[in-house]
Formats: sequence, structure tokens, C-alpha cells
Amino acid sequence: MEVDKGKGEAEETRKVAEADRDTVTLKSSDGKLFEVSKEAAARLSTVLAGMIAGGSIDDNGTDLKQIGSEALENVVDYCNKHANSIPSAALISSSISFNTAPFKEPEEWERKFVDRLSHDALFDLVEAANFLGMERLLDVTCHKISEMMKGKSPDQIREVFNIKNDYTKEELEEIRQELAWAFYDD
Amino acid sequence: METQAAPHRAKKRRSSDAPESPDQEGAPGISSPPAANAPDPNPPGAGGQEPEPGAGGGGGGEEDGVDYISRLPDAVLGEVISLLPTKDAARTQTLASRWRHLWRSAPLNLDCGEFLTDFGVVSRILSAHRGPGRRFRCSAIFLGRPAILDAWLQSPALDGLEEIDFWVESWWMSRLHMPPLPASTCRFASSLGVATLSQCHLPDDITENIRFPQLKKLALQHVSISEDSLHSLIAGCPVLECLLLRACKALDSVRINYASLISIGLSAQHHEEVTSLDEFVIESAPCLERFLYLEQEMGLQVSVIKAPKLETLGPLCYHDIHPRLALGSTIIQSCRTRGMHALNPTIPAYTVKNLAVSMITLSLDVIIDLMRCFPCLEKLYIQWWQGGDNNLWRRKHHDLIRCLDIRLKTIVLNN
Repeated sequence: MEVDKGKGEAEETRKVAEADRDTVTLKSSDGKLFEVSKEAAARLSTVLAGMIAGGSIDDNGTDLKQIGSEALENVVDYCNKHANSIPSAALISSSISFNTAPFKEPEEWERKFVDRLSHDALFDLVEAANFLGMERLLDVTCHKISEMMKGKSPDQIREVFNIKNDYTKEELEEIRQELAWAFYDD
Repeated sequence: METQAAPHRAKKRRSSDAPESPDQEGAPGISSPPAANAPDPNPPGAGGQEPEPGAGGGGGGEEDGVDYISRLPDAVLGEVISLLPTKDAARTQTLASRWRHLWRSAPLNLDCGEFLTDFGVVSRILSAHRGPGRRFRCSAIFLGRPAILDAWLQSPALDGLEEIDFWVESWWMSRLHMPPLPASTCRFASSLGVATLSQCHLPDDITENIRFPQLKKLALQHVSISEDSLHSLIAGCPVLECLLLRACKALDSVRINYASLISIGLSAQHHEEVTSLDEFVIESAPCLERFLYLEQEMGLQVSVIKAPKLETLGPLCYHDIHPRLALGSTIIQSCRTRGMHALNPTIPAYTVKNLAVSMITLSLDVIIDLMRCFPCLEKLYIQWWQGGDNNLWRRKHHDLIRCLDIRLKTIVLNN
């Protein structure tokens, strides 16, 4: 399944898709069309699954007004990669993570997939994944964000994410006292 | 760019009563969620518009000065917070007023290991947090202090717990007695997805009547459990994918006959007080892909009768005293004088693609014998401790190249 990069071949790809019906066409807020494997879309997105089951998929491109073309391209790319990925044959050397991996850890290719994203593209993708009910993609993107926060002081986190501290000095002091346990090293 | 919170919940798996009201929570601070295109405090160009390739934005948010994260819906930020270590997660409350109420209603990820010197903090966290529980991790030492542990486990903050982990620091604990698993653990049976139980006794009355409909990963480390109990426990886990059995007491023989298992980890580590596992038989595991020996076994007999998808195997240890592995009719056995050798290598284990081997003295003959047993190998991991003197290409190996279609692509050596 080829990914339509939304750069002109969209129309052509759409015609092919209509013929074989293994794919669905999605339309971004800025009008670009993307093809995605119907099977992968239904498996990875509860929202798209619902639309496919309910027959509300438009052959001319299902409107996703909330999602820009860059984010939608990443979503489609993820779905297609997921459809083609073979579950990683766990390397023996990493077998020890068998029982220590705390949560559903992203696969290696999923890490690389989000690592290459710029700051704003990452957040657009989180919002798109959330909007489309894509639990796995949301896990992967949230994992990436948490990695960017882990082990950092509040000041460092504010700097990384441009968060404006709108507390007064007194408010901040009050919260810090309430959370004293979270500020000392055990 | 739309800044409106997306209408869908972050997770379907969260229990339905999870508090979640993006519009009420954190309302006081919400007046300032960063409108897109807010004035950039940093002069343009200072941080560079071009994101560094591969940096994933981790290098700093100075790309364009926009606070993207704070405009994510509460439920998504809750997911992010629940992935952080316990202290890091709580400290997010101090970032800005937008974050003030998020931690309290984000799924709780509580690692008691962060509070070794003052575990009273654990009780304070449990009473301050609203739940639901995502992960509870605690030293198995607390299994020996049932009153404290029980009070923690009964806390509403842990309702709907998805992961429980009783960890052990070292195996010296094996000399201590094994307290029973507290019955309060069973209240999470319907929600648990991952469970690591260590250094405790699993009584028959717990294992016989309990079902874990969501449990995908189960690790039993130094747990005392009877063979019958183990079977009723696993039979009550219809979607179990990964099973780890590490040095379990009172188990002599285990026969695996489970349709859902994808991965099995096994260690029958020998201890003075612990009878070691004698026999491990995979009778039928149609989905099994990985079978890993995590530590060296002593005298363990392993048989794989039916595992048509088995791809990853090992490490086969050539320094055990009498290990024996039977894969279908291929029997691999080592003996002290001759190293490892394969009996009946005519019917090889065709499905195995990844194999690890551990040997004291590197022996080319053994490796070549193994390649005959596993003709579809793509990756071979070899660990050894000393080089051998006689690792020469021999005339008898010539047929290897002629007879076998060698698919091996990668060999990883670790000396």
C-alpha cells in the first residue's frame, strides 16, 4: 500500500482506491487527500472504524476538518507502517525487559517515527490521534512527551515546552510545601 | 489551527467512572491557555525555526515560543503525567495553574521504590489522589507487613488498577519465608493487564476461583505455587500473552497447553532451599513465538512438542550439567566432555529464526552442528568465556555449504 503524500498524485491514487476498495480516502482541513489501508484504519482508530462500519466514508475524501495535512499525513504514514510492520522479534539481549517494562512500550520503529517529528508536528499528531481515537498512536506520542519531561525540574520543563508560570510567588510556595515529598531525593 | 479540545476521550480503557471534566477542572487557570500565536517572548530566530533533525522537539521549545502542550485536553495530559515517575508526575502541578489539578485525577502511577526512607508518603499520596490506579509498584518486603500493604491496596486511589508489581531486589530473600499474597490484590482481578508477583505464596483458594480477563503479562518470581494452582491460575487468564516463571518453589514439572501465549520466559534457578524445576514441556502453544531461558538452569529437561510459530529461542547453555532440549524429535543435549551436540539432527526445528547460545569455550563444531539443527536461522547470538584451540574448519563441515541453504544474516558475538 503506497502512501499518498498529498502532493498531486492524490486524484490518481483515489481512482485506484475506488476500484479496489481496500483503502479509504481522508481529506485534511486544508483539502489534501490521503489514502490509507481500510484494514489498518479500522484497527487503529475507533473513530474511523465507526465511520467505515456506519458507511459514512466518502469516496471523494472523508472530511476531517480538525486535522491539518501535515498531521494527517503522519497519521496515514503511521497506519500504513503499522500495517506493514512485523512484530519485533524480541532480541534475546533485551529479553530482560520481559518483566520490567512498565507499560506498553513503543516499538523501536514507533520511537523513530515520533523522534523525527518537530515540536509542533508532535503535538498536532497527539491531537489528531486523540481526535481519531487511536489508542496506540496516542500511547506512543504521550510516551515521547513524557520522555521529554522525565527527570527535569519544573523550570526546565517550562523552558522545553514554553509553559508560562502564572502562579504568584506565594501560590507556588504553598504548592511546594504541600508537595514537599516530591521535591526531595530519597 | 484549532485550539479546541478534541471531543474524544483519550483512552477507552479507562474505567467509566474516571473523573474527567476538562471544562471544570483547572477552570481558574484556564483563562490563560496559550492562545496560538501568543506573543513570542523569544526574539524570532534566536532558537532557530528549523527543528533539529531527530531532536523531536526535545532540544527545547524555543522553536516558535508557542506553548503547545498546555492546550492538550486534560485526558491526554493525564496520560502523559501517568507515564512519569511518581515524584516527577506530582511536580507537574507546579508548572502553571493549567496543571494544578491534573495530577490528582490522572491515572496514578505509584512507585513505592521512590520513597524508601519514608513510606508514610505512600499513604499520603493514596489519600490525596482520586484514582483510578494505573500502576502500583512495591517491594515484595511489604508482603511481610500485611497490615500496611492491605491498607494501601484497599485505597480507592487504586481502583481499576492496571498493573501491579511486587519486585525483589535480590535472591537472598529466598531464604525468608513466603507470606501469602494478600487477598486484597484480588480486587484488581478484572482490571489488571500486567502482574509481577514475587516472593510470596499463592494459595490454592486464591488461584482456583479467580479470573483475570484482561491479564496479558504475568511474572511469577520466586513464588510458591503448586502445579495444579499454576494451571488454574493460567486457565483463568484467557488473553495471557507473556508468562515468566522464575525460580518458583514447589513446581517440579510444568506442562504448557495454552492457546494465547506468545512469549515464555523461564528460569529454574537452583537454590539450596528450592527444589528446582525438573521438567518443562510445551505441549501445545499455537501462538508461541519466543521461548527464553533467562538464567542458567541445572538439569532441566525441556521439550517443545507443538509450537508452530516458535521463532526465537535461547540462550542454550552449554555449561549446564545435563540440560536437554527436545524440539519435536530434535534433541539437543550437552555433555561436559564433548560440549553440546545434537541427537537426531535429521528433523530440524525449521521455524526458529533467532537463536542464542552461551558456552564456556567457543566451539565452531558445536555452532555448525546447531546450524544443521536450525536451518532457517537468521540471527545467531553467541556468548562465550574463553576461546577454544581447535576452532578449525574441518573437512566434515564441507557438506554444510553444499547441503544447506544458509539464511543466516547476522551473528552477534559477545566474549
